[in-house]
Amino acid sequence: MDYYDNNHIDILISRYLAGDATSPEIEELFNWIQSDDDNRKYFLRQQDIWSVLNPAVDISDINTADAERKIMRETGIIPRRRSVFRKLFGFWSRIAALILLPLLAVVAYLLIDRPQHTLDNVTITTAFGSLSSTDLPDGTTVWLNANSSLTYSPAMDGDERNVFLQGEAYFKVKADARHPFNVHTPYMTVTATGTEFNVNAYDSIASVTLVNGHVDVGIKDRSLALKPGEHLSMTDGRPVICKLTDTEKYCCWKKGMLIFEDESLVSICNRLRQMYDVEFDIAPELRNRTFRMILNGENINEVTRFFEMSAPVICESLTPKEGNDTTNLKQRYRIIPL
Amino acid sequence: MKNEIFENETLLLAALKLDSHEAFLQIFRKYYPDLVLFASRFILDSETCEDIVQEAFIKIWANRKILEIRTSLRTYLISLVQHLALNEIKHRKVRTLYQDTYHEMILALPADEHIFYTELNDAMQKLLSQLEPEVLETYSLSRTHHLKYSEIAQKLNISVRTVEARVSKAVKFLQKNLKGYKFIIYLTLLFHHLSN
Repeated sequence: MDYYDNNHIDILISRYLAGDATSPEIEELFNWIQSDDDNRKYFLRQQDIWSVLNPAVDISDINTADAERKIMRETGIIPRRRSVFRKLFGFWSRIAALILLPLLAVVAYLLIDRPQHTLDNVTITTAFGSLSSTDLPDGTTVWLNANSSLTYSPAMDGDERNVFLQGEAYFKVKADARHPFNVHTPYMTVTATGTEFNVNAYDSIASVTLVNGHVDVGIKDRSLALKPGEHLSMTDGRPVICKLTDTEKYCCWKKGMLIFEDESLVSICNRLRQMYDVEFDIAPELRNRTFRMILNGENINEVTRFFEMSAPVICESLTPKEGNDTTNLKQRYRIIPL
Repeated sequence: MKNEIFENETLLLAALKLDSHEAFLQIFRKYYPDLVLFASRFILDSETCEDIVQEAFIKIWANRKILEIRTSLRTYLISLVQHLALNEIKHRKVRTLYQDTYHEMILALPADEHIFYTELNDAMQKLLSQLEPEVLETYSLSRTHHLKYSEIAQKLNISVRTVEARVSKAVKFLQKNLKGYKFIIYLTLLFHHLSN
């Protein structure tokens, strides 16, 4: 096959790979691919090149040295830390003792004079389908969405104020420029001094919405600054910042509301999954169908009825499967065309 | 050239069988980043991709005594990572880039025909270094920094036509010399990108 005679197909393939192809173009391309084995191979090669040149992961984000250390330990090529310590201990124990003894004395002295802060961390947890709000010891107000937990040290008198969040929360941070307020989540850390913002950290589709003031979002070793009205979300493992005309959509949950404006069924169900203890099976042809709805504290059965009322779909409740798999006992809904 | 690589690899694998840490490390360092990129075609989460590739290397070390590589080490590694990635998708239901049908298609390309990022990148860098400095600069501004022709012209204080001429020269040169990589799509895309 002469590749240079296939200009038309090349343009189709490139439009398809770049995500610009229209549905008749996709159909034409797929017919061409299926009509001949050589065509199929040609397409696969081009797709291969395309994915090589447009990697989903930035090669500079891959830390080979870290991975190497991990691998060496896991395979047992490098002995685990403890035995290394033991070897060193024999050697250096005398010198260490010389240095450590006076140090210990100083530490002991310092500790005796001070009241000890051994207060346990406090964790607030909300159940599925509920939300709560609370004031932290520093005067910050936090609204905690369903299925979330927030952990903090009750003293909060260090140089920095740290809280740990799983799920979603809205923060109205008490202004204090000297003591930065850090929200740690599995995917990012949000740092503020006195602002209002929403953090969604239920799963890898994490996001931050800044209502007013200023925050820095740390992701791995990068730091991104947000301006008021900006929304940062993780898309395909990368942070994307967009400007919102209205932040209300991302924050109204704290009033018990959910707003969806022409959002796909998939993303609506993802949101419902986070807040209610449910799973959805959506028919492929319905996944991208858009809905516009405002929910105001309805329960999940009422929500699924809204789907049925606003589009020709059936939303049926499946009984949880019995069996060994105890993790899969969530309420499931199947959404199929009418 | 090909012979030499083959010989090295035979030695490398023989050394690995004899518990050589150096051999294992050499393989790891050479292939780790490319394999993570390869895994990221199927799995969106970069941490999971790294975990999968690390798992592959742990398996290789554990099985070094009975390892039997009939193809090449490179092909073997690609197949292994592909297999582990598919398992991950099946069992953990991780978020994937494509829908199932698309998936089957991408997997249908034999492992020995996959190209690695560093290989293609090295080949391109080598070719680019042969270009005149001003052509290379113009090309990089357009491709790597995604500047528009008019912006490049302003920045370099040359006419838009000169920018066009230089980029087209670089592209033609790459196209001519990268034939082995079926480079045409990338270039079509490049033009597409610029015309927008």
